[in-house]
Amino acid sequence: MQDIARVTRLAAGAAAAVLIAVCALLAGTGDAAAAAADSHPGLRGQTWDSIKRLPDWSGVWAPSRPLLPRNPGSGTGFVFGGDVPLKPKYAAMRDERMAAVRGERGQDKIPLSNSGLCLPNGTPANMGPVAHEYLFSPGRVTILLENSEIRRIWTDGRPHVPDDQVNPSFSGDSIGHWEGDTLVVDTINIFPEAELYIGGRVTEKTHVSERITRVGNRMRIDTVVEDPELFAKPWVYTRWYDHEKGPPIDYNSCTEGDRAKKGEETLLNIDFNAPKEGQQK
Amino acid sequence: MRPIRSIGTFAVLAAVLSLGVAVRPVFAHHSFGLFDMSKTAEVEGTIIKLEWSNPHCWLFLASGPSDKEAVNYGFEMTSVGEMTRRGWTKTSVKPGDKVKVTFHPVRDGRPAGYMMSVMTDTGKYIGRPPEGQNAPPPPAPPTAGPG
Repeated sequence: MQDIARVTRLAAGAAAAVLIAVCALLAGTGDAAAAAADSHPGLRGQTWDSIKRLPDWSGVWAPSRPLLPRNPGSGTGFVFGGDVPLKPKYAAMRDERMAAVRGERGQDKIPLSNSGLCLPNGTPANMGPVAHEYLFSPGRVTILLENSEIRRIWTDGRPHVPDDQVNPSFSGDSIGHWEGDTLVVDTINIFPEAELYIGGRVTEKTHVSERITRVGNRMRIDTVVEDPELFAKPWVYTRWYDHEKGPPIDYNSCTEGDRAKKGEETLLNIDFNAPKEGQQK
Repeated sequence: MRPIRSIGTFAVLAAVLSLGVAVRPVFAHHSFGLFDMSKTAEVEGTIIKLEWSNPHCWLFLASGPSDKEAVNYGFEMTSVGEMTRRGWTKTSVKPGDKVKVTFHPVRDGRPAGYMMSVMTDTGKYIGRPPEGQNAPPPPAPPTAGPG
């Protein structure tokens, strides 16, 4: 099934690439060609000129508060995967981790998340906890995340990188197209150390589909995560982000990473008396 | 002197917590399970230091009748970006400042917790007041489907 889906995606991407090429041939060269490519409704923003006609996604998009939607099953699982429809084996691992995090397994048994180690969360967990911004340039949309992760989404009609050439990454290999003012993103080949949710891993087979739409002063992202290893059925959720004034905040030093190096892996083994050295007398 | 004064357990929150994982603070990355979100406590003391750092900021406080008898508290906060959006800066508090911290305590009783608000000795909140930090849920999103 996964292979069939992948072949289908590859074929769709290849068809789009052919369409661009044909449009370019028909329209001549240069900007005119690119504008013609843009005439395919799914491939908007192929030139600096046509980018002006894309929706305004400038600014910073911070996860809406509360992060916990009131509706069950609407993406609340991103922290510990609480509502993720995992198969029993993986659900048991998640539940064990949660018990450890609650302190029910002793002080030294709390597994760290990627963020606690100052590693990238990776797709799709990275869209959960921090703010992000969008950059449009010809044929691509770039998402900059406040934790310094970068997602490059190719919107020029190219297919996914072939399996024999791809280097799986925390962000994964993302291609996208426009459906009206909605950016549809398809991501595969995510490095298996990336997180599905905080504290849970993706696999080589994880496939993330996102539909990103601005609704007034908020951004809506509908996400479907498929993985035949992890899920009996796809994990489907919607998250909202608020438009924020002011600049995004650069990621600075990672204290918890420093602590991990010092052996203070968790809150429970931090030496609270240590700061006394700098205490004001 | 008892530095921690419990100011209440919220039955509703506790009830939701009993559902398992359905409730969590709105800003934590990974470790809030350590905190008992059904309890709120406050402590007064002197700022030792503010760690303005990712993935989470930390605030350290000494509380007690004297330096010798002081207990050191550690309070986890959220990311630099989120703290900034809540009106904090790296100079919002300085070592030696007298403050009152309201927090969700850790479950094992150690002097630590998740910061909810910090008030100066002149009664002013650092950053946005907690009403703003714990704003009611935003209006229901439009029900229109994606796309």
